[in-house]
Amino acid sequence: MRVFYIILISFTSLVYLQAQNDSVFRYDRGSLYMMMIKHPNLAFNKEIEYVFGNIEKPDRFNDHYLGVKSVQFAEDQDQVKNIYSFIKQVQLGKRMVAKWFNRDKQTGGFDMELVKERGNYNATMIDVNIAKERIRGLSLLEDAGERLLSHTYLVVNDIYYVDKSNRWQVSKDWLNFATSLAEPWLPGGDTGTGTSENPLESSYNWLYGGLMDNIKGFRVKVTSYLFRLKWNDEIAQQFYSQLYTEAPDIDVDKVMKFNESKDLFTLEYVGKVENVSSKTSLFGVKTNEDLIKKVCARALDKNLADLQHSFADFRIKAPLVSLSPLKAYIGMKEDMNEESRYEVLEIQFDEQGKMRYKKVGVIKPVKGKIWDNRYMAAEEEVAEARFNGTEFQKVSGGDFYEGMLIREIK
Amino acid sequence: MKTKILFYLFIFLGVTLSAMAQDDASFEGEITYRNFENHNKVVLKFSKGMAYNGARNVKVLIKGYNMHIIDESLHMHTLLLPGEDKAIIFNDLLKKGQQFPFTEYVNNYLSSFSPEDHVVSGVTLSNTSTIKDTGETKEYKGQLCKIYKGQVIANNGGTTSDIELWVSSKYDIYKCYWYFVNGIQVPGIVLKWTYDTKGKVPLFGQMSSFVASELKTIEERVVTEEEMQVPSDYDITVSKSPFKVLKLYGSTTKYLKKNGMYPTQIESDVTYKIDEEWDF
Repeated sequence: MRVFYIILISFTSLVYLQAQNDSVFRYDRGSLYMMMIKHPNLAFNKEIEYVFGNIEKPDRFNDHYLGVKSVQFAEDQDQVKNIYSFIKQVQLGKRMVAKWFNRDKQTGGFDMELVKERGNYNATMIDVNIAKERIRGLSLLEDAGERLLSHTYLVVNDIYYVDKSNRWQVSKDWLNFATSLAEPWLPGGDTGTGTSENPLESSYNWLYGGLMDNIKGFRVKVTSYLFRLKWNDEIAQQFYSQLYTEAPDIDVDKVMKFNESKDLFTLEYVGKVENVSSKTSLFGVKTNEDLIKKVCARALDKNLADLQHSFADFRIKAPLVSLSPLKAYIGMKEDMNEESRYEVLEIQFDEQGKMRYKKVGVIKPVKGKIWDNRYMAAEEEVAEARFNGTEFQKVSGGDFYEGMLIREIK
Repeated sequence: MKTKILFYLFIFLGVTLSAMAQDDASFEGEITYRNFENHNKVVLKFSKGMAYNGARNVKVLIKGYNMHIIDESLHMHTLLLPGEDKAIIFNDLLKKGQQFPFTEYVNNYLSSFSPEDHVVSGVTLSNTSTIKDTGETKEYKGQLCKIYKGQVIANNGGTTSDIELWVSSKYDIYKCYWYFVNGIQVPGIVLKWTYDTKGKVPLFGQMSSFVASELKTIEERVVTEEEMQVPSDYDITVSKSPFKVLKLYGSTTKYLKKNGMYPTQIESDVTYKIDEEWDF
């Protein structure tokens, strides 16, 4: 009987510890809003847009979707300028903040539910009634700002089909013209679409002739532009004191002030990465939609990984899920290779309850044990897709425990 | 060949004129639209500045069977006077323009999205259209709109256009208004519409244009006789030549650019388009 109690207590503690680790991990995610730039004048635009709208969101970020997936610019020579102007015109920073505080479109009131959820704050910890100026747990608001709001990102993906056919087509036209074989007014060469929501279903070009020629070499070029919500103590102070109001005592003046604020919430440009999708295996690909989805999903994952290589603040963290072997659920999708190195971080809390990271060691992936977690890797039936996590070996440090977070070192 | 390319360009750019007015409809007043336009390099290159990537403001004045379309961004006017058998294109900065026979102009340049075949220089060009009422309705600017969608394959298969229109039946209109939407037969005023046109010109490659137009204002008012006339001091040439129209556009572009007035020079904000609504 005594043994039973010991086992029960140990098990309960383990569950509690695991739950705590999971919640800490959830807490530490950045929030990401992904958009794409569309190009109706380019081939496969509708297909790419459809696929982008249905692609799984990156699972290591909180989804900060604001309702608009794609934007089109009249002129596309300078996309950074375009995106900046778009952000300003639609007041995207303000919309991001509105989402964070769950703004009610009708009343203009805010609440702290999403902050609580993403920050893993319980009701006692964040017993804050800002509207009535009874602010308790102020350090948690600061913590929320530092850990949550200032890690709100926008990634705008400029995706287009790499078309190698055009030059050849023009040459062919010249040849035909020269030999008087040209049909003077040829039908449009695009993937004609009907009115179906899914262009991949309605386009007969995709179902019949010419399909395989295009599909085998289907490639996209993706440039991803990373922006970050600007959030600091000054902005937070202004927001909480002058603009934040919540039900049931909605302050109409504050609602109006928020509506009228134009320059308080802005995004800053962090940087960009650019890639052309690599050759894609047709293993497991059954439909055209599968292929476009696979090419686009992998290209987008590659760009997200590259943004993380390049910009430290944007790097994700993942928990160690086992010690023997050392294992975490990240892999090739995060662009991991044998040269990758990860710091192991221990979470500590200061006297105010603020969370800090302490580096306690470095690990690297074990050769041949890198998990292939890329989109549709399982359908390709590659052995690495069955690993269910990447195995690591220690480079330095020690006394790791499950739930510690790992983060890539550049 | 050159004529065909020119003709093709006009169709592409949706040069809009008037219509056969024959019913008792009654809207008289002013409608303003703002266009979002995106054309590919081939279209931009050959259009002599008629096409550009950015925003275009368009005003439409309707009085009786007559229609006056003002491209405010380029200062170009298209005045349609079917009763006088005149279609006059002119520029208010250069104070000059060109007059066509109405019917010929309509046949050549206003029927690109029409469901009917039309004859150009003795050659019949076939059009097929699948545009129809989808049964769907949406609200825009406080008016309930019927959504029309479909595809027009025009000019013996030379161009393919995917088209969507939001049509309000709040006002009765004369059929001449159909020519503002390039021959699409709609039962009211179009509050929003998009066309995505693609085609191919041998030797020059693919031509592609995407235009999204949105109503900004609509006002029922008395339109004066002066608003439906060319000012008396303007120099108007009578000619059927499309090259002269193109030359007029060329001169307009040159003048606007020289004086820093071309739309792409004066736009302070980037022109963008989104199709979805913000959640927050």
